[in-house]
Amino acid sequence: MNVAARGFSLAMRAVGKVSGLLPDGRHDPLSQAAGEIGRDVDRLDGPAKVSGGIQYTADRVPERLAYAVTVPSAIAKGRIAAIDSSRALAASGVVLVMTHENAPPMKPTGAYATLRAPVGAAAMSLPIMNTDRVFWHGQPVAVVVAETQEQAEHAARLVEVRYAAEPAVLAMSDEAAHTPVHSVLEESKTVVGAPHAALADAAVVVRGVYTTPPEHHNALELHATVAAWDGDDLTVHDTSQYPYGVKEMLAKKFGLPPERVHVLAPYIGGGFGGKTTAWPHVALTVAAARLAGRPVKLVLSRAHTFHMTGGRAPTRSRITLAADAGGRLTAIVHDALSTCTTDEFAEAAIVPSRHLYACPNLAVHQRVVRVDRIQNAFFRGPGVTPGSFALESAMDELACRLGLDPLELRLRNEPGRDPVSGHRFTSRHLREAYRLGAEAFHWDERAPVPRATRDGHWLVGQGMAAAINPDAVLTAAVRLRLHADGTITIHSSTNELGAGTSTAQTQAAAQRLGVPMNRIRFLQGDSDVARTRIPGASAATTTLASAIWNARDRLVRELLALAKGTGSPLAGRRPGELETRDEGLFTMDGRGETYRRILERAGRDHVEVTGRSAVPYQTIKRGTSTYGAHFAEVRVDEDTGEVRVSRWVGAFDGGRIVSPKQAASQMRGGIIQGIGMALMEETLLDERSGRIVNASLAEYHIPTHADVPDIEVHFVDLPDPQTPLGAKGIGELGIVGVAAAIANAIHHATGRRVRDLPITPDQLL
Amino acid sequence: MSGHIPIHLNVNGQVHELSLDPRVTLLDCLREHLGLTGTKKGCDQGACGACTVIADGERINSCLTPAVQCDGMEIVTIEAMASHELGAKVQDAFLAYDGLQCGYCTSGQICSSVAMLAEHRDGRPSAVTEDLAGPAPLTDVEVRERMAGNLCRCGAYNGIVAAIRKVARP
Repeated sequence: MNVAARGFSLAMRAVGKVSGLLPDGRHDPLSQAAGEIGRDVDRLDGPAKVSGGIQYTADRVPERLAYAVTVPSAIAKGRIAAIDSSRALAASGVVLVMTHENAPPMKPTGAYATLRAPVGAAAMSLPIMNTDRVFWHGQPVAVVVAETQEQAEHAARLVEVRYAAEPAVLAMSDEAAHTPVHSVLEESKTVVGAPHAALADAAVVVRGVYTTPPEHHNALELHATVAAWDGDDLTVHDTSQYPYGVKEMLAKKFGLPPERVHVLAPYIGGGFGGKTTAWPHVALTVAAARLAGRPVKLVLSRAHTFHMTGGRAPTRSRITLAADAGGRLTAIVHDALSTCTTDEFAEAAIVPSRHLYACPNLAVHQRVVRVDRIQNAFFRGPGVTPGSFALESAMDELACRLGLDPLELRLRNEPGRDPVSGHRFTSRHLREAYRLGAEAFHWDERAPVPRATRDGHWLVGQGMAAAINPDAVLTAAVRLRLHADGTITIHSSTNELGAGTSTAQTQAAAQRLGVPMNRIRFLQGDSDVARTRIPGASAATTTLASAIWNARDRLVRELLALAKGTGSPLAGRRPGELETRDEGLFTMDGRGETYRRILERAGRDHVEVTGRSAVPYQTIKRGTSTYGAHFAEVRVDEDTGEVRVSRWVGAFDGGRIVSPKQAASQMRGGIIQGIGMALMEETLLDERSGRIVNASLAEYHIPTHADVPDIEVHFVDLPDPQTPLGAKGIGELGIVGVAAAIANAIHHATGRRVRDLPITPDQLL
Repeated sequence: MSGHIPIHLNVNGQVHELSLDPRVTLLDCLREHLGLTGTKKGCDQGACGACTVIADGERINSCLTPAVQCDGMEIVTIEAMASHELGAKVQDAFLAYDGLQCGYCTSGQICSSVAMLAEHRDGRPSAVTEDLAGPAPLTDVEVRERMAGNLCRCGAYNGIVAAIRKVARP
């Protein structure tokens, strides 16, 4: 293990030792209160969305707009020996061609993926288009700007590039692997107890090698940037999950004070982590707009979203599980390998093995190989998603070997404390999720042996798997404005990806402030509101709730200051005596007045406060995760190997559920992406050239209507005592464990164990 | 401009006289020339259905259709659905059953649903229709097959099928 990785481990252990001294999370009185929270409501942006009324990034058409198209590199590694733009420049309507020879300088920035400060949104640290170097196949090597999209697309094909190619590392191999500094902010190598001795003494041992392929997010909305300069003021509409981070990145790259850079991203057409970081085209659009002296819009083609934005790295997990005759785990050994680039980010498959099961002896080790591919990205449940395929498949194999029901095996190994850190959990209701899911699925009716059920030429089987995802509270601030008419506007730098954030936050804020939902407007996506670092990590619900809670407390103090010296019944009251309810401030015994009346007395048009999220001590001090259980039924065509998912029940512990209707939709969405991962998704890379060969939705298959059954979702819905609203983030949880549940169901149907994703028909013939 | 072709396009009841580069797709014509950005581009090659509009009563992928080929046609887009009897019902049902998340595929899903319901009413079979002679009931299997050309990456499929079920079998 290298020095940096060892240093990270020592630091983590030191934090673990002293974390007991940290305060717990503050108990949120709202976490158990009835009201708007927990009510089924229609999504507030729904009416605009069903009528085509939302403006996404690519829908912007500023005055004097020009259109940009990128040219991808045709080699994986080497140099641009010569680039000739003359034919492109001569084509009709062409405004300019930007290459490394004429692009304005863009200062290098750190890569977000490394999760090391400073954490601007840049996807990579490489100096794209400020160098003649080529780092991956498909890297943008030129940007053509023209009067119309058609002219730009035509001229992009006329740019002639001559390369000096060098040998590239494209395959994931053991020889070149090293231990990364961290594994999604956890230690890359951990040993607890004496795992190898335990293997020797075990009653039962299972071993397997499990692989997951590279995958791409394929949000339906193509990545797009619209950039407009006004002197040294820069306004950028971008399909970013992290507008504040894009602002920071662009300010640094172009040497601007951050206050001159305005990034707007209110509505995003799906992200899933693919828009967490800003891929090179974002800065290139800004540079092209500067050269052109007019606004420029760049929408990546679907093919270019494969070439110029990263996806999930492939993983290979070697897992050994040992158990005693009673089905209690005695050892877990998990060695995992994935790929990364210059900017190290491990798709850390080891993560679930660290947290899911009680086991006295454990050895996990993550390694990575640097390859000459595009930077790998965050993708829904980084690490845990591919890792759970490996671990949860292995658990199924162990259950088969023990002759034990797979659910019973999991129940026998449910831990009371985190198996690695020994910390208590803020809350963990996985047992309850197992119970809810198993009952709804009628798991007890499942045949005990594989290949027991047939329906004509269909073999029918059921499988299950557990899900886990670390829960994070991040950093955010909101600006809350109370208007003279008693309505409230909340401004945030987060955005609406489709998760239902704006609806859930409106529900929670209405209850927090004691007003009906229709008195609140939640506005989002403006980087200028406040430093807000929620690029993903399922963290929006709790982080924003924490900031709004703080804004509420500040508002109360502000209003009491206004009431001082007036005839208000609030004059002289202390904040602790007051409740925010009935559209105002009132004591327990009903004395007080409405927000409207307070402002009216003070002669104020509005009051504005800024609320900041609290430091999430509870997530440092204790294990905070979300949990779930998937129960799947598949039908496998014995003649063709075709797999149909016919039935699904998912049950989840995500703390208190703020907006159940949308939460259920989000879980279904995760499960459906998991069905894609299990059965069809794979970014195919030619390991000779580095070229992605299926860069289209015709050849990279994602689930369609016809692939998806009705999915039943249940929530435990018990508040976490230490989180804002009692909630936990559930955006990623749904996909975790899905692929294993399907692989396990396929084994149950056919007797065939498949350890390599995706499980295509050829693997079952 | 030289090489441009004059066309006459009826979009949502409004007539447009346009002169277009023959490379302009109907999708880009709607979005970049007519300001009707409700119709979305998800792949530009007919693989995702986000660009679905109704042309002379048929659902089509507007990204695969050169605009000049639509001379004289009547195009209906998401922007007109609220004033379309069936369209408004489908919109309401999508909301009620949460048949959307990010909203990017929604315009295409709704246009496709409206045209699909009409196709079914006209007795047109799908790949899963077993009895080609009589009118097939609009089962969930039928709906899923008939809507399979409209991808949703957020995974709002259950809500969309429930919404269509509600409109078809109130």
